[in-house]
Amino acid sequence: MEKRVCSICSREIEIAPATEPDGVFAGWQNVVLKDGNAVCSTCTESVRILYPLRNSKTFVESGSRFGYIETRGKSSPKKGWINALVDPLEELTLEEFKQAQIDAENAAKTMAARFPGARAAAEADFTYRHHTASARTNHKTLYSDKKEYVTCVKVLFGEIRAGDTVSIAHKDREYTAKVEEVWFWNYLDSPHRAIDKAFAGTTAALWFHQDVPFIYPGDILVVKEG
Amino acid sequence: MKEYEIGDTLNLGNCTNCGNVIVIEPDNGLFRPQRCGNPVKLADGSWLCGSCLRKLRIKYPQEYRMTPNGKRMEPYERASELNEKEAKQELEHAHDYLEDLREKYGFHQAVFSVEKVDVKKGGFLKPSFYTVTGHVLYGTFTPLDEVSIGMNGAQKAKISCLDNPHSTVPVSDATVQRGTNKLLIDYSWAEGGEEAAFIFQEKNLNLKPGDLIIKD
Repeated sequence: MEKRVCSICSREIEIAPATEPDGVFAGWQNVVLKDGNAVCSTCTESVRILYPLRNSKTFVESGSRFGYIETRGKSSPKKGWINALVDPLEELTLEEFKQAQIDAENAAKTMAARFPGARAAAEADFTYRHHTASARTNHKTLYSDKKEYVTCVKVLFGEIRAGDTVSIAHKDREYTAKVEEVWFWNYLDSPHRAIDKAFAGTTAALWFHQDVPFIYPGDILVVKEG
Repeated sequence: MKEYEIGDTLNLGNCTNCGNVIVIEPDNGLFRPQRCGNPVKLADGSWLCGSCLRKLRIKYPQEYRMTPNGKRMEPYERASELNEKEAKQELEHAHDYLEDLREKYGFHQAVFSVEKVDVKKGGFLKPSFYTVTGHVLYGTFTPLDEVSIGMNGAQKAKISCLDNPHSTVPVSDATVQRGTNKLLIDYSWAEGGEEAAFIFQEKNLNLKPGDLIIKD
C-alpha cells in the first residue's frame, strides 16, 4: 500500500497496488488522477453524479477468477470475460477534478429541484425475487422464508441507506417500502457486495423484505425529508 | 466458438437515450440473458440499452419469430423498428402509458394475457402440467408467485416455474426442477412486454386463450 495525501481534503490515504484484474467490485477506492494527484474515495463521491463508473466486459487472463491450467508442468492463468469497471476520473487532472466538483454540485441542485421535499431519488430498473436461502451444494434448493425482493436502481441525487423508506407514487395511490440492505450493482450482472449507501450517479440494488410488485421499470423511488 | 484475444471488450458504444455502455453477453456467458437485459439495435443503427428497452416493451411487446434457417424460434424486439428520435419520444411517454394500462386493468400490480394453454397429464395421482403461454402486459412475474385467474380472482394458483415460450422439450418434473434450481431461479422472471410460458401443476385449471392472470 502506498501512503498518499488527498489533494482535495488533505486526508492521509492509501493507494492499493494494481492487481490481477478479476472484475469484482472491492468497495469505493481512492483514485489517482491523470496528473498523478491522489483523491480520496469520499471526495470522489461528490462527482459521481457526472462521472459514474463505466461498466463493460473485457477478456483477460485471471488465475484468481478462473483458476490455473497446467501445461507440461507449467501453470498459467485461465482466460475469460470479466466485468471491467472503468473509472473516468482517472482521465481528469486535479484542475479538471476541482471544476467537476463545482459542476457536480450544480447538477445535484438541478436534480434535487425536480423532486421538492425529497432527500434522495432513484430511478428503478428491474425488480426480481431472491429465492434461495443459501448456496450450499446440496441438491435441493433452499428457499428463503423471507420474501426478499431486489430492485436495481440508478440514484439520481442524494444518498439511500438501509432503513430508509422509499415512496413510489402511482395514479391510484402512493406505495412505500423499507430498504433493508443496499448492495453495489454494476448495471450488467448480479448485485454482489453490500455497501453502506448508494449515492448520486451510482447504480445499486435495494433489498426489500416485502413484495414490491408496485415498482415498475422507470418508476422514481423517493426518500422523503425527515 | 469465436476465439477472443486478451484485452477484447464487448463495448459497442453508448445507449442513444441514457448513455449506458452497450454490452452484449459473450457466447460463453454462464447466464443468459444478462441481468440488465440485452440491448437492441434500432432501425438507424443506434443502440438502446436493456434498461431503456425494458420501459418500451409494454408498448412494443417482444415476439418470438422463426430463425431464417427455420430451426428455432428466437425473441424479436418490435422496438428495433423505431429510430433514435422515435425511441426517445416513446420513452418520454412510457411511464404515462404504463399508468394508463394499470388503470385500464383495475390497478392490479401485474397482468398476463393468456394466448395458449397446453395440458399434460402428470402421472398417476399427480397434478397435471399446465403450460400457459402469452405476454406479460405489465408488471413482473417470478416462479412461486401466487396468482389469480381472471379479473374476478375466483381461482388462485401458484406458478411452479417459468419456461421458454417456444420450448420443444415436453414439460415434466425435470422442467420444474431445472426451472427452480438454486443457480437459475433468481435469474428467471418475466416482465412487462415479454413473451413467457408459466408452468402450473394443478389438478384443474380453468384457463383459455384470452384470459388474464393477475398478481396483486
